[in-house]
Amino acid sequence: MYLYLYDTYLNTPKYDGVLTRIETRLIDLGINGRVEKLSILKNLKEILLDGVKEGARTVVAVGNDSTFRKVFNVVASLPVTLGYIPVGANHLANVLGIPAEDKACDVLSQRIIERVDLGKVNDHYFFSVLEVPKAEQVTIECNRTFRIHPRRLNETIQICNFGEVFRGRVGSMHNPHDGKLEAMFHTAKRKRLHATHKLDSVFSVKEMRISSREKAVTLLADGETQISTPAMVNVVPHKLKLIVGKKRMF
Amino acid sequence: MATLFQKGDEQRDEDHGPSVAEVETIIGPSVHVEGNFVGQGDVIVEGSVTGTLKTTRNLRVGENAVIQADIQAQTALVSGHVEGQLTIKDKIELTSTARIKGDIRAGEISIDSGAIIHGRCECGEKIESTKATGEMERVADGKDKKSKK
Repeated sequence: MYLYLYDTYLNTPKYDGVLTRIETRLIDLGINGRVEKLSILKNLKEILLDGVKEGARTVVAVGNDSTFRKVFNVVASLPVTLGYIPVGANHLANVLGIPAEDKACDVLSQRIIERVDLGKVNDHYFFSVLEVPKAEQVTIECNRTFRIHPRRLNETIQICNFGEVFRGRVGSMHNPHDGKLEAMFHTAKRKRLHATHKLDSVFSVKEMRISSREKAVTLLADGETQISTPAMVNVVPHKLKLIVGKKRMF
Repeated sequence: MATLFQKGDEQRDEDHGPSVAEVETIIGPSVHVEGNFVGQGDVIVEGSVTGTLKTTRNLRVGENAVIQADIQAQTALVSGHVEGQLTIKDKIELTSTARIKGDIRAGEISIDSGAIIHGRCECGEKIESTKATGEMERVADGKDKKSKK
């Protein structure tokens, strides 16, 4: 059974036509299912747990990158496959090779499934990048064997599972199947008002502990979720079953 | 013998940093690494390292790098400062800016004019890595292996 989750912003008349086209196409393909419209009054986790109890094996996020981020974090710990129907502006769809709106239904019906790694910071999963904005204030212990001490100011650290996919960028060195995270250290060079970032150091690691030397530092997972140090970060190999298109970028 | 790092590859792109193709680890000038670093891929060191540094593949030590660690690698191209024992399975190349304080054991060695070595240098012998312990042992050409520890 398919469970479709419509994001809150789709509950406006502007999107009625798009949703009708999507629902018609799903019926044509024989993959229609239960529809849940998200709202601030509904708990996503409860909806998903109820859906799985009732037999849902595929959960489809209908919305934008933000919808995907909300849904995958709960889906990751459930025995279901995740699909995505992008509506409106988004970056992730291109990376996953999924066309917009009703055309995405064909990709869903073809069911090309990739099992991708997820990063985990404390109890929270991240799909793309964990960012450490004040790098000079942290120490990173990797694989319990060595420690990295950043030395220069204005440095940022990105701990990447799958590149900056929510900004439409996939680096050649990020592979969501390799069972590793890449810790990438950047230095900032300021020229008048502009700052350019240069890649300085790269480490491939499976597990790390980020601690701050003085005050707690706020880390940013997938560009949205804030997590404070100290934080345990690790990779969970093949954690998410994801329906992708033939034109995916990985 | 195929080596990833050649002397001509040392220049860095100012805007994009070092080339990262096929390199697993880059220890840049902005970081200090402390402890037992073990890598499975090619390693570039441009910053500082203390402890031990092991990789099963190629190592490049940049001109401004400072390493106070015992090193094990398949091949090495050293242009910086190293204090510790170097055990290189195949070939080690020391450029004119290399400063080594410690013993070197390698299959082959190439030393440019200007390089400084304070320590013993053994070469012309094949160094083999014992997978179980990760330690290196020396095998004289055409002779039996010495007993493993």
